Amino acid sequence: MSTTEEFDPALDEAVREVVTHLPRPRAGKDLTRTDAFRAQWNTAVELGWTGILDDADFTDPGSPESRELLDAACGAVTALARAGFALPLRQTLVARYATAEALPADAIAVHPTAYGVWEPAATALVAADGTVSMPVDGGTADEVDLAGRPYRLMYEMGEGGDEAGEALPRRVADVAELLLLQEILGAAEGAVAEARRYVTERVQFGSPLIKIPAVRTIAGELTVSLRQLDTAVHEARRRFRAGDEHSLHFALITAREVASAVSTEVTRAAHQLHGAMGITEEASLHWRTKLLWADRDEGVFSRDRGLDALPADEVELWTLTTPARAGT
Amino acid sequence: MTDTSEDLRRRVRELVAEWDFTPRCDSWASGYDTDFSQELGRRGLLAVTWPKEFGGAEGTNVDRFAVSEELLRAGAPVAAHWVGERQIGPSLLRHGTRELQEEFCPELARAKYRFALGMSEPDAGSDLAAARTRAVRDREGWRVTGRKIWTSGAHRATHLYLLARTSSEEDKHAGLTEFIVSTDSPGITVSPILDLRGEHHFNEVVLEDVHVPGHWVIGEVGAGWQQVVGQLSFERGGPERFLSTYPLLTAVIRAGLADHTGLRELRALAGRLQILRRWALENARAMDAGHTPVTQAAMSKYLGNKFEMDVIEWARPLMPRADRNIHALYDQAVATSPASGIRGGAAQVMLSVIAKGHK
Ligand SMILES: Cc1cc2nc3c(=O)[nH]c(=O)nc-3n(C[C@H](O)[C@H](O)[C@H](O)COP(=O)(O)OP(=O)(O)OC[C@H]3O[C@@H](n4cnc5c(N)ncnc54)[C@H](O)[C@@H]3O)c2cc1C
Repeated sequence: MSTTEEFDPALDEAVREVVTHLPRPRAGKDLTRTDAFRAQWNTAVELGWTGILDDADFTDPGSPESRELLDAACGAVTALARAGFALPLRQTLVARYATAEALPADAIAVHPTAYGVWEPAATALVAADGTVSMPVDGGTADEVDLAGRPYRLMYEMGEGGDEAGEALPRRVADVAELLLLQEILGAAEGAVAEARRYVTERVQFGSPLIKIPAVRTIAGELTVSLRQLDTAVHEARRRFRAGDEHSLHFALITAREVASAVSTEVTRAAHQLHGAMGITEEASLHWRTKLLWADRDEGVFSRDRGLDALPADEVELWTLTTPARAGT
Repeated sequence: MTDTSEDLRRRVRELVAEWDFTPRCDSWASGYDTDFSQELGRRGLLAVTWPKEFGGAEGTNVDRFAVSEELLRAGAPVAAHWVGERQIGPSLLRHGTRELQEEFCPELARAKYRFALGMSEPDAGSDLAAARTRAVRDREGWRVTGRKIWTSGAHRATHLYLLARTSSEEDKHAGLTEFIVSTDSPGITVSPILDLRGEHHFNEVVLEDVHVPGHWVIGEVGAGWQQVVGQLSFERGGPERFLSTYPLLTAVIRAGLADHTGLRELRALAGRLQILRRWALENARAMDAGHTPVTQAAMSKYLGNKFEMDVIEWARPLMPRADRNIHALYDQAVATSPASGIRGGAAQVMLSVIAKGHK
């Protein structure tokens, strides 16, 4: 799959190389209670992924330094998801970016933009104003989402979703949303690659499944879905660099909408193609699917999310849907 | 986008604002106004990618994309020049002899010549290479006999582009040749086929021993298949594959008809519109870089078709509060909707092209 804008292929290669040697946890558990999780997290910390945004400032998001840091963060998050690993990397990157305080290198840091995901396992909580506190074990019943990530129920946290988001610094919220989109994109790419590999290798009726027109049709649809998501995410990234808040907000909101639809399409179609084998924990599709579902549903409190970003007339619609210029 | 294309956009908007027309859906296929097309030509807004000596402006495909987008955005009547300017001129410039280029390109750039596409036949639809129309050499050129169907605009065109068999080979892709045929040649009968609105846009064209001058062959005899495949990127990858229902979409927005559910759905539609516009721009850029983006163009067409259908579904429940003009746009969109997934290559065939292109 060619993407409209490749991120650093060396980084992708490095992540792939590292994760192939990492153990997978068993399915259906709280990931943080497995040895595999600890090994994975330690590796991410040792490789310096968690600190990528420590010095990021993004006041000039189009500058070469900002661009490099954002690309690296997006690259690491996407590559990890592409390999089907659910780690608190994205959330930690955002939390560390959101605070001026120094955190231990191996901290699992969580910020309100994480919507409670990983919070029960957090070793540092970064508040909306950037202050850091160490979590106290409040004895709240932790939940585990579809990806095996522990999370805190929002109603128990007493927060109202989008209203809570309003109080957050805009840039932090934008980075969090962008990284979430990148993670969805990575997981979707991984899922599609697995499905495609399966139908190319699996022989039934005397030839590979991909030779059957109906299978090819589904494979074609998957390609279109994925490509849509890739375009939407990269458009948001370009607009982040361009620095216009209104057009970025529109791109993030609509990209999230596209991501939700594509996650559903990809998980359905990839599993259909992969047959029974895809369901098992031995199949790497299994892990990507669960991450896709969990990410898709994360923080979606209201069906009205982002309606304020919609254009009111034709000229605005045309302007907001015009691709960001090259070079951004 | 470059400054040139921004300037082109401005000039199109100017003309559109001056011209007296009623915006319509599917205007590139059904909005026929020869005067408008010729005015575009006079203002240098057609054939912008072609060499100056053939009536062009030596611009890029991105420039042409800018013009096309603005025209479709306005629902302007562009069918008279669309096919000739979109794919016949470029095909002549790529494969035609200099003589053919001199004879046709300047006239196409002014919309004096208007083309219809004689590709499909009763037994050659998705499987276009099964075409049976036959061309046989004689002393003055060629004699063509056969039957073309679904030939849009043939009743108003000055010329036909024609794909015909010039030899019988085992491989059906071999032995095909591209021709230009004058529509007033003796032996041509054009009969209307009415569409779902009872409108006459496409035709059946019967050719009985029709004379074609020897030099009206496009490119090489027998290389028609390879050449026609190149046309398909132009045919499939442009903004007309997703902007056919744009006038409806924006009329509903402008009138403030969207209810709460409508606004929620608009979020997804707007996101996809943004994606489709990026893809079409990238297709144009790929062409400027000398590529033939076959797979990418098939993706644009496939998703564009879905988008157009979804715009209709989005607008449908909002129609009770709409005025007469919006109803007219809605009716146009609905009645042309089945065509959107068929013309220029059926949806399933697009998916097959996409799957093959992404092994
Ligand atoms: C409004 C309109 C305007 C047109 N204008 C022109 C024109 O100007 N000039 C011209 O030459 N032609 C024109 N066409 C014809 C158009 O190119 C053909 O209709 C198209 O290529 C499909 O061919 P068909 O209609 O014979 O469908 P068929 O080939 O009979 O196919 C029927 C259906 O079968 C399925 N199918 C076919 N093959 C496959 C496959 N390999 N895999 C999976 N599914 C498949 C598809 O879903 C397809 O829709 C026009 C068509 C329309 C609707």
